[in-house]
Amino acid sequence: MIKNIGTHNEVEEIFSQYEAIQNELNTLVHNNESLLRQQKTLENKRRDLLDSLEIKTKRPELIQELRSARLLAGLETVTGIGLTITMNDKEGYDPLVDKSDALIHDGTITYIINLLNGAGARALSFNGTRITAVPQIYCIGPTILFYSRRLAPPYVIIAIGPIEEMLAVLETDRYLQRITSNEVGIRMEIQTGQVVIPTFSEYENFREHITHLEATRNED
Amino acid sequence: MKIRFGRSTFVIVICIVLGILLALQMKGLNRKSVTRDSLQELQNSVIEYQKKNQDLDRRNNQLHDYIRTLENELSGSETGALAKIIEEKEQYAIFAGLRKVENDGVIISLTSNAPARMRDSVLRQFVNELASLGAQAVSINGERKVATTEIRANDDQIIINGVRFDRNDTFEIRAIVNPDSIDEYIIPYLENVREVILKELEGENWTITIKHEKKLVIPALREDRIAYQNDLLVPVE
Repeated sequence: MIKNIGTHNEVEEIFSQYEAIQNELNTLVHNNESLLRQQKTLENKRRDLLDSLEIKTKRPELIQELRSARLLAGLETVTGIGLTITMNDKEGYDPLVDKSDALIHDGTITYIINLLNGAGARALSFNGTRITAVPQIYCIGPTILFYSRRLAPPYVIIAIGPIEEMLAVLETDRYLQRITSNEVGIRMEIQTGQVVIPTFSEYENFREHITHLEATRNED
Repeated sequence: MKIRFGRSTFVIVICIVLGILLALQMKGLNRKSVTRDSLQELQNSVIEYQKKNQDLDRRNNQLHDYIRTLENELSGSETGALAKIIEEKEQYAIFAGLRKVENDGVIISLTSNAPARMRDSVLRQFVNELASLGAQAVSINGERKVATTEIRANDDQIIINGVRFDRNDTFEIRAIVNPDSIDEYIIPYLENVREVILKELEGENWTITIKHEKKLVIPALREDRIAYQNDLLVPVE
């Protein structure tokens, strides 16, 4: 049951280290929540100030462009009608008996995102983090790394967009039909309704993802 | 009456003793369930949160400065707000894929010779690998990859951002990545991906080339593309 641990003293030592680190983590999580609250307050203040500045009347197109760029960049929390897709590995997955398809891989997630995009999705999130232009989604062992976050099932994809089209494409897709069949066993549940998709900046600093890009003039 | 009271007291004492024993047992079990692996996992979470908090703190400080500039503009004591707003807008637009960008990167050219045809899954696999390698901008046949870009096959065509491309044509994926790791890491990694894909496509005649390109230009998303639409999104105040 206990790996690499021998004596009673060693168990005690590791447990006390664990407790100390757990306390440190609790403090960090608490600080994170407070920083996120602070960020929301500052973002609201920024928005109010932009509304009250004369620039809004003198250069309305600039403020409009700013808002549009924020929306398309995924840097604004948005709401709308959409789908919530919850996915789980096969119940009681056994690597000796079950196919590897019975586990959800990075490719399964990017495949669904691509299907939703093809059906006209306007904004998407994966386990609470916004999907961006070049989303870093890849498998590490049995978990999926999405940017700096390590995720485990259930995997939840939320998409705002035309519900009928998005539902139709998911329900008629042959690959999804196969992996959700009894033979393979992936569990997928779809709900429709009003959804909220968070801003990318809730978890990541977008500026770190444009460090190698130099904007150039558009000549065409 | 006395006997009944004595029995009740006895049962209560037994329950308390059992409760204490159970709590001690649980504590022991908790201790035993802590392994070096779980300790390492916890340490990783600490590092992750430390980084997250540093980033958030930096972003909040930037927002503070920005708000101060806007407030000064409002009070008439400074006139730098316009420049700040434009700079902010440009940063968002670059991140969203709405600006043409340039830097060192890689070009992957894919040709499927008849009777084979281009597969959307192959294009997506390369794009996903580039994303996991930290690519900051990607285009396929001149179509900028943005958050809602689709890459899908439909009969004889591959559709990207609503634009149709013939599946018998050569496809070109461009990506701007970290210039310092192109030759040492990114190209060898992509070459491995190519080998895996070619093995999967055994029997079909494919040509896939990967090269390092200096000053690679990646176009912006065109305004007439469906991915430019944000009509169904309502910002949450």
